Amino acid sequence: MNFLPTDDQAAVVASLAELCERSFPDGRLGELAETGEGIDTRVWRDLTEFGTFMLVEEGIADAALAAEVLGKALIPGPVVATMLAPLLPEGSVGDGPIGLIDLTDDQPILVEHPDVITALVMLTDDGVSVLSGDELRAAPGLLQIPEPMDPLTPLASVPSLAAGQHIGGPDLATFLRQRGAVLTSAFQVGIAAAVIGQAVAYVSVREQFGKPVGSFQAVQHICADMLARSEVATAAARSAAVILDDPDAGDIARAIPAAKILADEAATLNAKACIQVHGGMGFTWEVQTHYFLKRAWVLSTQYGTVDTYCDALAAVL
Amino acid sequence: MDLRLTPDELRFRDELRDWLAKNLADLPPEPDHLDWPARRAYDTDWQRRLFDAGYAGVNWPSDFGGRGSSPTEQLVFLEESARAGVPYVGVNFVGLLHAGPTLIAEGTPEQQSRHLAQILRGDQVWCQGFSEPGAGSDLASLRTRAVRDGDHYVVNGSKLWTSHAEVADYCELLVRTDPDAPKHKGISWLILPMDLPGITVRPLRTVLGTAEFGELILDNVRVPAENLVGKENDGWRVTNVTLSFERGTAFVADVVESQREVGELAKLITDPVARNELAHIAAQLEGLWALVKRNVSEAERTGVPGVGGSVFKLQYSEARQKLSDLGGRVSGRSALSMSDRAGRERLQWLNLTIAAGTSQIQRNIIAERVLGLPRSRA
Repeated sequence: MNFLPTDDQAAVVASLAELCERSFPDGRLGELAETGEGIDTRVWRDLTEFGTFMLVEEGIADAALAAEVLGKALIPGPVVATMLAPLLPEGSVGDGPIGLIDLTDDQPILVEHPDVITALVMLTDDGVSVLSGDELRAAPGLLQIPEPMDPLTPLASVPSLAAGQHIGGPDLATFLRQRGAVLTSAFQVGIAAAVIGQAVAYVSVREQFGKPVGSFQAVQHICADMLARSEVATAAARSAAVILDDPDAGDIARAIPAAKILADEAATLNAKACIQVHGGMGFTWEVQTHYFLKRAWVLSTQYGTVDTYCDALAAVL
Repeated sequence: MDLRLTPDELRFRDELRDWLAKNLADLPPEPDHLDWPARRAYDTDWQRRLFDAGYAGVNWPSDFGGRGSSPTEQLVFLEESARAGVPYVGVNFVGLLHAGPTLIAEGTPEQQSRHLAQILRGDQVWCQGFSEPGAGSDLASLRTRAVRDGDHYVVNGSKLWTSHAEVADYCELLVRTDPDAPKHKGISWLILPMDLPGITVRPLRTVLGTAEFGELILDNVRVPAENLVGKENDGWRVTNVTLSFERGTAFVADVVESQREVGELAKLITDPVARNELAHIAAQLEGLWALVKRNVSEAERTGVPGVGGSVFKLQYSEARQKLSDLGGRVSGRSALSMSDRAGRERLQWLNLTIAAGTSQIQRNIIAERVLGLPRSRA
């Protein structure tokens, strides 16, 4: 057993992190949010050239480690759905950003990144089907949501979607939902880790009562809990990824719910804690943590929620 | 990144499973909880069986009578033993997990030959004399005094929370040898034979109503100077070297036990809110189990555990307390009797967020040593 990234995996993670830093530098989040576009063409192109969206072919573990890096950098766009694309039957979708929506729950239909996706994969009770981007954009009643909660996740509502081209049965839907849940968990633990860095950097220099606020135990303990949540959730997300690649190595029926529950909570609770330790500044648009919290909330609604996974996990205990 | 056991690790596991199946079949009945001599006999008998089969001190180096196993094999050993339901390490805890490893790292050859094999065989039981009435979280402020007098140290003071003191042969004792030095620089580590004159053991009654721990009163106890481990005034460092010896596996049996309890509770709970809560705890335990594996792999690569220890203890203690609280609620009024397991455990596990460094101390450690935040105290 060696539950650490291999040298090859570590090398991919390191170069991907470097790519994100170079191609999507600090401050770019804020600029992009002002445009309302929700996807950065340059970083998306660089990620594509790097092979990020083909990594599932190496294994879910490789893709999950990459998704952690993308989460740390809060790369905008339909990252997870596009990473899943190589798993679809050949020819189902073309290149470019791919969207995915689960229509089996009773939620209103809100499509993410409606302007840029080249295809929308739909999970339904009958299995999996696909609409082209153009078919989606021509859907009757499609309305852009004028003010999405996450400025980097543009949304459109639509009363119903056409049946599209059927590409697989319920087994494929489950297959995609499981892998999507694990890659989303990985992205979430990236968020959970990123905001620890933001919190530590701020409380180490911000002074009140003549001392850095990070020297007060009340603040320190918030930060310690952030790390504890993030470490446990990261281990769970990586474990679920490894088990998807190697089902004999564990119990997938427990590993996936645990990963998504812990990762959603680590991302949202850590982002909130980060805002808290920033005090009044944390409530401003200027401090970037709100983008992380908003994305964490968006991702918490995808590929199964904390509540649905608690039900699923309780059923196999 | 994989979670698969290698062929060698699988062979180790399968041999162990066979051995456990044979040896657990003819285990004597568990003694009464309050009968300390019987508990010592029971715990050390099991230790002797482990020794005879080559499973004593799985993670101890082979030069000192251990098996010299890898961290992964140690994890397999602890997991398989816990799943099979072996007796708790009990009175052997301090010797195997703390005093023994300290002597391996810091003891003289004479000290090692007098204690290590004996601990592995179950012939020698140790207790721990660290905390004091005035030194808990701030352990380094301890005041039990040792003054050199010829070939001896003369020790005066008192120690608290010395589990198994009633039946221990030796105590790992932290004493102050230089009261004028800064608090971390004036402490020494002594081997205290428990049969010396001047030692009084007083039972300490816990919230459970029973005496799990003792208070140790030391009144002019003359300890031979050759029982000093490491250098005089270097005891704080000596104590801390063993913290890395557990290599992140200290709570393996506890997580396995918690998972078993989750399974049992799942059969009893129908209320959807309570089921949701149970699922949350189960998710937490899954994550902790994955964290153990990561810590073990890290120990295998680097020889020392990562930052996992404090994170693990913090999260595990809180998960276990939530689990026993939920168990207590499910038992309802039955839990008002101490013969109800859930009722008892709800009290028992109050100790988890206090013993071996409170949750607050763990958070201080994470904040300052792992995250590098500015120090909050002297």
